[in-house]
Amino acid sequence: MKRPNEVRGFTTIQYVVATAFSLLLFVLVANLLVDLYERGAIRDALDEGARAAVPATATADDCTTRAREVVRSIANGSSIRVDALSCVQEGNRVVSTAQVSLRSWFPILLPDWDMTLQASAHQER
Amino acid sequence: MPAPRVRGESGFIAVEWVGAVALLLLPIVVLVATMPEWAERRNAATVAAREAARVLVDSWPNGDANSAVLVAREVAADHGIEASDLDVRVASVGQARGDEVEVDVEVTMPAIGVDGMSAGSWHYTARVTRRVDDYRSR
Repeated sequence: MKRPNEVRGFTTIQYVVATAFSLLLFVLVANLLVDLYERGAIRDALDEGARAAVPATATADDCTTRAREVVRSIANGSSIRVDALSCVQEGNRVVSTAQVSLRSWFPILLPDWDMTLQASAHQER
Repeated sequence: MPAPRVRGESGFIAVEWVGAVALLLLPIVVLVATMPEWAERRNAATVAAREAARVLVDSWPNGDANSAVLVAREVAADHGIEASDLDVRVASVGQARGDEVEVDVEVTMPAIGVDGMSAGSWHYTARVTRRVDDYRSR
């Protein structure tokens, strides 16, 4: 009986490559999730900062201090870089602004995500 | 009797992989990319309603519903929500001391949303109430 010689079925190389691509995609998705968390954390920090300046006697410095505290407590890591964080008073509003850069886990594939975020609150009279 | 012919089974995995990516991985990626936006928009609607209600209570009894709507829209814009995705309703501005100021902010949630592209939608409404102080001076 002749042995069939076409039943090779040796898929190791393709399997490894395909799995590698799939895992890479998973890691990129994880990177996206972490970036979204960090963006939300910075927004919360800016909100907290703006709210710290709501009392009539509070100043923009209180806003900046509070926002920095919150950033340190919930988004302090090597994957996020806060380039600038400031609060200014515009009329009866306090506006907190931050320029942040979210580091890419694969800089070759994806660049860092730079963004400017802002929050505001009306001061009490 | 000749041996049955065996068809080529050279194990070309690309087709299976493409199928798996299309049927399993992509839906998960889309879901994972969409769900955080729901949480973000929910939070933005809550913060916007809270700020609008706070402004109304703070300026009572001269609270202006239109200015509260503007405040809510400003806050929502800070969170990256377009004005067309937002509906702000001031249900009550508080007529007397002890009344409750009530603000509803309805935000459109994309059923599927990836990087600015979206399909389908549903709505979430954040409702915030704040009580006008019982001994508030006019």
